[in-house]
Amino acid sequence: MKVYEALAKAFAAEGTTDVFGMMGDANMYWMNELDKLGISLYEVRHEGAGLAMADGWARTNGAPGVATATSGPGVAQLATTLLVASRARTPLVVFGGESTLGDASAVQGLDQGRFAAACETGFVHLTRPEDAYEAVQEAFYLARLESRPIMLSVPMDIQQKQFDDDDTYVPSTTLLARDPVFPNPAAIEKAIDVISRSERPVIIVGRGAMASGAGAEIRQLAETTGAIVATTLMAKTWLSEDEYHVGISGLYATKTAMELFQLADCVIAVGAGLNKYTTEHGYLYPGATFIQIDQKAHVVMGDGRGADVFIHSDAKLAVQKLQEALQAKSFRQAGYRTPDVKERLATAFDDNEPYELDPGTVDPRDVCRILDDAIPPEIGLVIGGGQNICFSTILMTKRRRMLLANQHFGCIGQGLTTAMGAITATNNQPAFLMEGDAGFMMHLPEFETAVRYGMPVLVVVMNDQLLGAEYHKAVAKGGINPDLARVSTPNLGAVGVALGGQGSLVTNLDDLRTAVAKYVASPVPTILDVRISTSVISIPYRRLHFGMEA
Amino acid sequence: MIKIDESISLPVPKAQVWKVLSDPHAVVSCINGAEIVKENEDGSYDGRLVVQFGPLRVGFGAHVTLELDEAESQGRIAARGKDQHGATRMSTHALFTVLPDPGDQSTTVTLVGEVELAGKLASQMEAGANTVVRRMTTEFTANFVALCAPDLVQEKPPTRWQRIRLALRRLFGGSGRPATVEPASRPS
Repeated sequence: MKVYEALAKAFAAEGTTDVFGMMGDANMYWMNELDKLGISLYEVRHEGAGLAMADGWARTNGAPGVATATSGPGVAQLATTLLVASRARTPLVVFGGESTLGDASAVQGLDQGRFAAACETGFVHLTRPEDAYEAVQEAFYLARLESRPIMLSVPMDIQQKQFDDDDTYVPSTTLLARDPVFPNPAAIEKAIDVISRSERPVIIVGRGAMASGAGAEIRQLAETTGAIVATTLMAKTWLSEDEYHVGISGLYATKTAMELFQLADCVIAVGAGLNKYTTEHGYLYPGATFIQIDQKAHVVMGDGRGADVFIHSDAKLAVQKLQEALQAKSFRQAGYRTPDVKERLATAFDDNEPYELDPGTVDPRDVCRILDDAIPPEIGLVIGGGQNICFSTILMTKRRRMLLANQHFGCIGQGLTTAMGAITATNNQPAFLMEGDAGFMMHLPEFETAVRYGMPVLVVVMNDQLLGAEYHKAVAKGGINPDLARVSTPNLGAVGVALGGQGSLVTNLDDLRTAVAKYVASPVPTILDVRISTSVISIPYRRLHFGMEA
Repeated sequence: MIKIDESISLPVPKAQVWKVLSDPHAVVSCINGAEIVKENEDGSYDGRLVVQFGPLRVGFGAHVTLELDEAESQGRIAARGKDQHGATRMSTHALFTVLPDPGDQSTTVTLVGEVELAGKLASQMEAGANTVVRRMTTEFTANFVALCAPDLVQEKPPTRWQRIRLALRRLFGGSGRPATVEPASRPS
């Protein structure tokens, strides 16, 4: 068989079911073989968008996502999303077609290895036909082990060579069979010493805790220690059924949560990296002693220090050991879990700051509340990027089947595409996207892709017709004309209809309720162009740019 | 760099104003969240200041010098320090001038200076830091007026700090002193 056939077989053996990308000279033979093997191909309008779909797919499914781009210009389009995926620590394998090996004059020539390095992406270069299986295995092994994007770059001429290996492909998962890491008893003992002396502990949970399935154990530990429970942004709403759940730790925390965090004398981080965003460079927890549980060998926190007690362990196992040790000591305290704190938490997510609305617009906070209430939990939520998502990130609190946040690399334009990937990863179950107008317009053509593949996505465009971050910063800083950040849009609901889906323009809350009810009753690709008032400042922006105690 | 440019009119004679301004303890008492913790032999002071950035309260330690020139009715105040994590550095210098109005029954104090923040908090707060400094300057002015001319000031609603302490007392009992003012030390 040909090398491209072997490569396709190897991808299938790795468990690949969905591939996102755009066909070109340097990947078309491989894609054709994937199709023969029953793998679903999603033809997109921009290679970077396809990669973002694979990113959303992988972050939802957990297995490596797969995307493809053809040589040179196709690969070059991947730059932003490769960096996003790197920062998000998403396991991805990108099949990058490549010009003929050694042809320096190729019109689509690109040094794809250096390109990948600049994009924080691992690189596997297939330069000998006989290495085809090893190359695929290495790419998937690295993606799974390092949880980051890996580019498998294959020159066109190598793809057409003969591959005569009769051996069965050995998937990378066989190399990675690992048992969970048990905690060192000495570290558990140190942690128990800290917890025993604490009066106001906070448990921060992250993706590591979710992956470990440590929810029930964490809630038990919170009860025992009197801890409030907070999440990282990526774990938003996880364990929110706990009555002392305070939401996100970081800039997207409520004011109530921030006040409680600053009184904490102990932080127990479970599968949470405690980066600078989660702890606000450490300022959120000025008096706390840190215990951190992570399956990585070690983690440096966002304030540049190591935790006071680091427990290298699977999250669930370590929390179980902590609970057992506390029970052996008959340790139990109310801590933060008091009626007074519960009373404060009851109104923690209220935002009653008064603003006068622009004519013909709605308050973005009302939009978040209405959608959170009207859309059932079986419908997933994807939060895009940019200033507008500050509203939904704080104010939407319903626990949902699936929730995906996009704030990596600080870019906009990833919302729609990651939502489409997340929908694909969940057998086309519906999800809605909260996105700004600038971010949505960046990859508007992919809405047509969603229509083409029947993806039941509801796009809620929080449309202030601004580059919102820049507008509000210009207002706050002075000296810059804020109107330079005004960018008008057409009626995006009508655009949705023109692209084959549904959509409407929303300028009042009754129209919003009607439109959402229509989508919930029959989820099909839909755009709601919700015109929001520029006068309403989100809570994070009130803090950062206007110095308000929000 | 955050600019300070304030002018305060006080309906009291210059000597009364100068007396307050030349007393470091009195001046510090006008800055909400500030205190002198040590008087050094060279005449400088070690101080502490808790600043509210949004809902965050950040404690700074600072070395403070005050140079008075009574003949010119001027004073220079300089403070340099960092927060408890050493992640943000703060540098402030300001010149105040005390000028009697005609008749010497009232006085004008001008305060001109700069505050510079560098480090993690500075990038975090961006434009918000300007607002914080403006708010602190306004609070200082109000407190200073109350100290120089107490008869002019009616009973005021509780300050931000009083409200916070009340809330903490309600939550946990005790003194209600915010834990962030004196964070617990971390074990080595």
